[in-house]
Amino acid sequence: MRESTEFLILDTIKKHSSIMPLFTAGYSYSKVIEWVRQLEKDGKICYNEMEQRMLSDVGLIRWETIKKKKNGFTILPLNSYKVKKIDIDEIYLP
Amino acid sequence: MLGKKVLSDKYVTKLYTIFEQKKWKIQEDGDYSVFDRFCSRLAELENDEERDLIIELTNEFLWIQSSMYEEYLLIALKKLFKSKEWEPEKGKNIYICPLLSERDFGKLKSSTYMLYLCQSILMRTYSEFQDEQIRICESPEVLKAHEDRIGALILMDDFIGSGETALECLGYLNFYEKKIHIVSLVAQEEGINNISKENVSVFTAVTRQKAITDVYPEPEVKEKIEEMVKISKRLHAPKGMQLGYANTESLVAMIKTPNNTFPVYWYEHKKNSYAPFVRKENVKVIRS
Repeated sequence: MRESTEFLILDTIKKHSSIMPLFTAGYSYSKVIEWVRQLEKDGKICYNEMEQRMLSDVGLIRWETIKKKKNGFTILPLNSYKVKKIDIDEIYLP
Repeated sequence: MLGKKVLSDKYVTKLYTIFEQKKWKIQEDGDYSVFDRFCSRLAELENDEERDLIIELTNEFLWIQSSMYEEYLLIALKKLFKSKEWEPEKGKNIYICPLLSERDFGKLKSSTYMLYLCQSILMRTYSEFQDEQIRICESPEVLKAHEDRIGALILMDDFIGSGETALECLGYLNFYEKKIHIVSLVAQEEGINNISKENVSVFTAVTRQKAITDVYPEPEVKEKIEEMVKISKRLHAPKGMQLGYANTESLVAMIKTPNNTFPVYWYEHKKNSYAPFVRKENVKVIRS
């Protein structure tokens, strides 16, 4: 399963305790339920007392890990376009 | 997503459990998997009581796919060959014929598909197929010209519901005075009983009861029948079919779904209405 798919499922369950938003969004029942069952087998999804899906401790850690990866990067300019850092007293003349 | 309404994950999960237990595929290569169509049909129902009824009944649903036909035919034939009734006349041939009513002669029916299976390698594990002369007839019409050469006659079909087709076939064969044997992969008890009144035995791999009337305690039957009729009416099932043709209350799908099965499993009336084991007239056979 792709990481983006895994995050989609984990995030949906974390926010809604349900996978129904994925069906409403147009994902097929068969694909979603197979993904979810795989994550359940991996121990990332479990059920609460009201029989709603929730993230297990393993699932939460995995959610956080993928989330960090998603937000933990910066797109830098090409080296050829990089401008040298100048001192505070210097004047920048492009 | 198929259909307009969305099914809750509670019922998607329940259905998934059934598919897993029955080893039915969840995802398929085509655009509309049986699972997706089933979820869409459950979403179409009015309320959770109706969904609970259909989920409960689906636990008992029998789906014989084409890959399973040979195995089931071998089981049914074994029952025939081991029975005391099996006494083919020596020196004559064993005739196998599709179980067809006269109006279906010449049509492509499941019983004609069964005839091809009779030529399989595995059939030859029975001495009847290995050592005896077998004649496979395209239709009961052929039998008239061969009457004196018939040592044993087997009429074959994949599914017997009410028994009406079998009785019509037997009516056509009233010129044949010797023993007739009927072999079917699956048969409803009611059909078997109706046929046995004509002193003809049916040999099957699987026998099925009426899904509500014969299974639930009497106090529950009326309520569940009413619920199923309501579901069928809302789906605009054809008149007289609300509990399956001839009120057979069947829970069976074969290569094609018999109309004896509850229409909730096969009937599609309009756009955005999807049945899991759909039976539709958009695929037609053209004859010369």
